[in-house]
Amino acid sequence: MCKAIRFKLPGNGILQINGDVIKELSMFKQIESESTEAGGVILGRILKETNHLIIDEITTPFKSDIRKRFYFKRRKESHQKIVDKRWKESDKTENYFGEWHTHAEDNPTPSYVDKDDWKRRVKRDKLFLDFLVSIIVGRESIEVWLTDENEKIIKLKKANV
Amino acid sequence: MNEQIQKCFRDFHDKIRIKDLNREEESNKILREKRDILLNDIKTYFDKKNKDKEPEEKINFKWFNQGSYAMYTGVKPIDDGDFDIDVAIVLNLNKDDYSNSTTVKKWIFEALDTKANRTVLWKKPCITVQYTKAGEEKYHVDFAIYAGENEDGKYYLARGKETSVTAEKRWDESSPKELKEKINNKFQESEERKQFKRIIKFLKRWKEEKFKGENSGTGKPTGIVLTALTYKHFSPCVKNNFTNEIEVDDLDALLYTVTQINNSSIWSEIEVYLPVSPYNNLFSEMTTIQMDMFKEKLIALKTNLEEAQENIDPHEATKLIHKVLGKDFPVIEKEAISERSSRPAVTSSGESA
Repeated sequence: MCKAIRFKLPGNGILQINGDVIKELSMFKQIESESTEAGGVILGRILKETNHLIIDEITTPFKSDIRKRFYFKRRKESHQKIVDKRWKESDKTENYFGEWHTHAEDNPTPSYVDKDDWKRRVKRDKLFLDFLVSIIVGRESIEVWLTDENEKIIKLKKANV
Repeated sequence: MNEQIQKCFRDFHDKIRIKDLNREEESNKILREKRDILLNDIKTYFDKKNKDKEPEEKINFKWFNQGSYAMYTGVKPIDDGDFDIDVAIVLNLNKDDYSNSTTVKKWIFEALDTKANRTVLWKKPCITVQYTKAGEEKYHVDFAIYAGENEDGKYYLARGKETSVTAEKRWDESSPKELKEKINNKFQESEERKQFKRIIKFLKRWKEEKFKGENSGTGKPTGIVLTALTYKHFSPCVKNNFTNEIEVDDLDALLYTVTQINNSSIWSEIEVYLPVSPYNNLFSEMTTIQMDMFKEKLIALKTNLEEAQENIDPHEATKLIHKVLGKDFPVIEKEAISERSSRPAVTSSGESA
């Protein structure tokens, strides 16, 4: 059993990555010298009573995506299809939160390419939340960043509930 | 404390509990009727036996409910299993007049072994009447037989089977009434008492789920072991510590109890004593391996409950509890607790490095 991991959001909210998602993300860790970068979209829900954010699903790389040691490109179609499908199946409760990808480093930090991509999405994509959630899976830790409407990028701290 | 999760515990409890024997409920009614027929057979047997005897030589008996029915800690069997009811038969005799306890047990056996629709069995602590339906065990009544007029004023349980070795045919000191009273009177405050009983029932159902199809050889604890463990380690969680208002939290209470049981046996073998005479260690008949198997399952229970308590998503939290307490524990649907949105987000291709 993988434990869920929780992060503090600006304000009082909490963002929780559910155990099953942690397990799935961990399988893409770039441990081996030949393992390539992976990524996909993050799907989640907003809880009614508390406004906490729950991540309970991700998409994983499709054949059409490009995976290199230090580069990942995801194409929109296959991932978007899943976003649409899950939204419908979940009675409109599950929606797109943001993006995840892996890094071949122990404790990940975003590259310029990563940050530019996040800022571009906040401006151009039609998001569900007021910000974009980005997860980078390192070899020893998983980190989360938010990019807000002003293109400000904030790293989230772990929450002790 | 989460209201939604507490509601799941209430619904779970309503599903698993066996309601008061004196109230009308179908499964109880059948058992109660069977019990009364059997008690009547025992009475007829002794009436016959006592005929032509001097008044002081006549054998009489009293009876009362004992076990989980009497303590209101009964749990419905899973998968349409076997219901049971425990009855104490107290005979007006002195154990010292009957060196062989099975002589006395045999009377009850003979009194009951008279009809084709029931199977009467010798068990070490009791005589069991099993009713079957199409070959499946449906329900049974356990008669524990006591000698009630001994020099020390205590009750002694007739143990052993006719075929047992002499050492197993014996009279064991026993306090069925005191046990019943002690469990029922542990908490005076109603919310606390009710939660205490619920925690016992939750652990009993957990046991049935986690030791499914296994016998006691695998470390499966008996109901009385779990009752005694809860009696010793439970502490009520029914009030807000600051406002003192009623705020019932079964998850907290269950986790606390399980944690205390586990902590008590980290450095030593697990043990728990019957809270009444003869105060014996109820784990004394388990081997070290069996105790380890029990503890292993207990730790898994604790880990899942801890994770459930930390989890901020009621759907995930109830899924974790469902995993350990079984299918009767409801899982809160994601859709019921999450906001709806007007459309799915639209995202473009992108890259990372």
